[in-house]
Amino acid sequence: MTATTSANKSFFGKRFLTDLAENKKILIINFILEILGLPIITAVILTMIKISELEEKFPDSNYEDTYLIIIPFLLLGIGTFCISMFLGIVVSLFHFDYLYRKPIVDMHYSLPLNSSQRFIADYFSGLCIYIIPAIISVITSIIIYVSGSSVIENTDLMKAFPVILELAAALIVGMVMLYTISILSIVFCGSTFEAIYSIIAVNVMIPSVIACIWFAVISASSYGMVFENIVSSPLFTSTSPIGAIVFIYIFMFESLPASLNDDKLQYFNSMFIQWIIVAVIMTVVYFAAAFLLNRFRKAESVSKPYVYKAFFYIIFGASVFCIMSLFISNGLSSIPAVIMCAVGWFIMEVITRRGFKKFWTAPLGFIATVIGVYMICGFCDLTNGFGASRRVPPAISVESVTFETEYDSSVLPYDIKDIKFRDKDVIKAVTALNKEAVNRHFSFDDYDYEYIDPAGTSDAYDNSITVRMNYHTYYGTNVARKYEVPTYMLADVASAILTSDEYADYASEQIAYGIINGSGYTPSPNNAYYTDLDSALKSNHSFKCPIFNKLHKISLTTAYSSKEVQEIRKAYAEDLKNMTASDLKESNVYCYISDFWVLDSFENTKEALGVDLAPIDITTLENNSSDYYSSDGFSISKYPTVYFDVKESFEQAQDRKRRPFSIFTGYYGYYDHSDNNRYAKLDTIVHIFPLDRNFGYSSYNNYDTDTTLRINSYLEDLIEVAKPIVIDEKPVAVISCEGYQLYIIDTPENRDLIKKYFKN
Amino acid sequence: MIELKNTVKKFESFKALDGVDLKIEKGTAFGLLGSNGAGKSTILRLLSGIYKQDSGEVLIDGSPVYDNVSVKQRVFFINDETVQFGSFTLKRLKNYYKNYYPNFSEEVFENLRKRINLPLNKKINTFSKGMKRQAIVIIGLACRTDYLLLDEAFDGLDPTMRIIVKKMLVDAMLDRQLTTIISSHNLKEINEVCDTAALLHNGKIVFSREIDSLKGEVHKIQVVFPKTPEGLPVEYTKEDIAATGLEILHFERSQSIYYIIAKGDEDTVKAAFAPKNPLLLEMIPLTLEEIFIYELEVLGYDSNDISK
Repeated sequence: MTATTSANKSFFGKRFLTDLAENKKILIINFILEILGLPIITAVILTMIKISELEEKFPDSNYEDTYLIIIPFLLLGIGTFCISMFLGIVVSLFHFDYLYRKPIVDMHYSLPLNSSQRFIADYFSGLCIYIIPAIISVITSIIIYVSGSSVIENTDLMKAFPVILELAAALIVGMVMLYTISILSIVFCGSTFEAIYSIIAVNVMIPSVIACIWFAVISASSYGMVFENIVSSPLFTSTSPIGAIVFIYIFMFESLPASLNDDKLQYFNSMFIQWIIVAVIMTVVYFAAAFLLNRFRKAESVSKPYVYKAFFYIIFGASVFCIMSLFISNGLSSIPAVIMCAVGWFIMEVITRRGFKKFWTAPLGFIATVIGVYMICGFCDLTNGFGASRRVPPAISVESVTFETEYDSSVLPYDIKDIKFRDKDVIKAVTALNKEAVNRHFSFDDYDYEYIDPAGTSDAYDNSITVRMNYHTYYGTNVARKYEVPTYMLADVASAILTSDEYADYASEQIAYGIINGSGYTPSPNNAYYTDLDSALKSNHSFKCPIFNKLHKISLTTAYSSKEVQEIRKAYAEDLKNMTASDLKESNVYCYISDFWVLDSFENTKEALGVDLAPIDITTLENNSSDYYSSDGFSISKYPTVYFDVKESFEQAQDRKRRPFSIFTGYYGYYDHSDNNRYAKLDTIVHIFPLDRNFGYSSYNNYDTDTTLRINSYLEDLIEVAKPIVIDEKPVAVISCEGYQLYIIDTPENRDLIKKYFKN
Repeated sequence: MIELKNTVKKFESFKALDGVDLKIEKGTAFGLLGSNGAGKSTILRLLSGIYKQDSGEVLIDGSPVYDNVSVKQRVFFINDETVQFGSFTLKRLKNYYKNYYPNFSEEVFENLRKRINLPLNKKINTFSKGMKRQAIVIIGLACRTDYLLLDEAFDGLDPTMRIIVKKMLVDAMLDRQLTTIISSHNLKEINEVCDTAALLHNGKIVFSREIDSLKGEVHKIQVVFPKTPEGLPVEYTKEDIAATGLEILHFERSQSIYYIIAKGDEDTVKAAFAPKNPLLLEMIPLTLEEIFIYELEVLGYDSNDISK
């Protein structure tokens, strides 16, 4: 017994070593490709970083020739790297050729090996041929990276070293997965064409089916769901080599810059750990499946197109599912998709059956698949996408959140989308907003709305905004949602964001950029546009900066040294960090630098700016020369009626009993915008950042055309009480000055003041 | 010893072996005969562990073959393909098999190679079909396994090489009690090399016995019977002759001469015909080829029927 066991072991080892020896040519080719791949890419990227560093240091020198030399190397590196990755398929085809080439079956199966020894030895010898050169290549690249990073002065590339190691590990795991899936595909097949075709099909089908199921889910439960969410889900990224490429891409472009900026989010670690655990488990599952199927596979199966016929139906069923579910989920007629799939199905049946034998069974398989697709889509629809859109991650599970408003809005700057807020108040406010949006959509009847007809209201306008939140959880998952909400619902989120430390760091940097670039004034008084704050501040330049008053008109232009800019930045950050939600709501704006306001309460910033702004001279204001359609000059208008669109989905319009109305549309849904929309009147708004409107408002006096500017003492008072920051308050009038607005809040005193202004 | 017990092997709905029982003693040179698709190659693939039987048992020295490394180590199978080693040189092929067969003898390999003068470092796909056969045969013999299975072993060999290869096989059998199983359509070669043979038809064993005894048990008989008192030739039918107790494989009459192929030893045949007082009774021993043809004819596999 012992002798037999040791003989078995030695035969496994012999098979393994023989395989390595037999395939040394491909090993050498792979080694050459690997050495020409990643190490060259690494060296070229480091060289480019060094050149850009030199370009900043010596801007007068010409580096074009250097780029011309290194770019071809980069292309060579990328090309050979891609080919070496692709070798995973080639190696698997070479190592398991006896599974699809009839003449060599006897030679391999008659050797003194059992099927397990043969499979495992072949698997691991192929893996060594594919992976060992890759590991050597990765180690070489890391050595190049470590030694190269010492000559780069501006950036401490070693900060990214752990991320580089994680990326290397992800690359290797992804390669092992590609190799294993390729072998699994070959085990199913008995001929060369089907083996090659199946490898491609399986690699494409796994991510495609997951994406299409996700698409069916979000189509059935569209409210707030974002398709891109699936791309960062481990379900998508950890289950296939294509998913692994997506993961590496996302991880590289998110985690690498974050690590260089000392942004050590646990999310990235969790994301990586979660990904690699799932990816390794999936690879083991693929290996186990291939191993077991190979055990049950018979030698005589070689030359059959598919050894396991079910595999053929899985591949083509998946293809049919992907095509048809896209049609169904998009609300298109599925008949053309059925016809298209039927043609493809029958062609493949003819190829795989090698003729028309028992061809009558082909329609049965196709019909069963089509029914299956309809059932899956129907099930998604019936379960409302498994209730996915109702789910909001608990605030306690969220490590950070990003919040994005569509383009620059009057609520928050668009650029804050890149800030990962870890502030607990921000996370709570965003999840609360999310919950409210979900409640208002799904429990529509619990809320009362006053409906208006904007067509009959000449000055009404839509006060809604599209927002998107991305939650990064402690578990390494990424949950994204997108809603259209009225601005008043953003009051808490905006207050929480603007009083957070992350925003203070962002805004203080922006205000420093504002100063060095002339406050965004065109043409810049500094005759230059700086994109690198640190290097700009290292220079001895003096930066001229216009400072705008509350009406967003230049009050004065002053010059600051680098040191002063840094002090202003520091002071602004300090003031923002000290600012409370009530400060934000109560304080008025002292001045603007670029589009960033300095509040009356920002004593540190005011002191650092060291300017004394002149009071607004009302005699210099120019009368608005035109009407509603113009934003020229100065005008005081009645604050218009604002509303938001209570959109109704197409399905809901068809079946009003099920859910009479829905509110706050999601991104993906099918809406009938013609007849079913209703408009709910809003009482309050949120307006925080200046937004240059390209149209004016109706005049205050009963919508007539009285836009005459009255220069009187009440005007000064009105400008004094007017404020550009409104958080969940109701304005009664709006002062428009060349497209920028200040709001007069609806109080008895303010109404009285307005009356007096118009009477005089 | 090799044993197949009630072995069934199906390829989808086609039954390649249908309850085959077969015993092959150690040291035997065993010939597998049979029509195309009879199941000869299937038996060889079952014995070399390539195929797994659907039911029954396939045993070598009492142990099942399939997935059994220690048994497979003692069996070498040479199939009728010649393309599988194309990319190898003879040296590489030798080293490849040497890894798997612990009794591999470099000495035997070199002796045999020199005898047939095969180049060591040329790629096998540059060899002729016969050379490829020779190459794998000398490797099979150099592996020094207890069992050597050859499927259409002499296919592609020129007459001189056939003699050399046959001599190699015979030498190995004599040297170390090698059990050889040869499947071939060339019955002359089986006749020359094998001492025992089995005939397969439609997945079943028709007979399995020593060739010499087989030859002694089937006879071609020429017989002439006396005329009737009226002077007319006596007319016997196949059934009349079979009524004597003989198993008739073939029956033909030309004028007064009857040509009969019948089973049974010489004495039994003579005793069966004695009551009919034949004028002439001549018994000629059959070649293996003739036995093959007549046995299959009984089973409905004759050239006339097929061509119809």
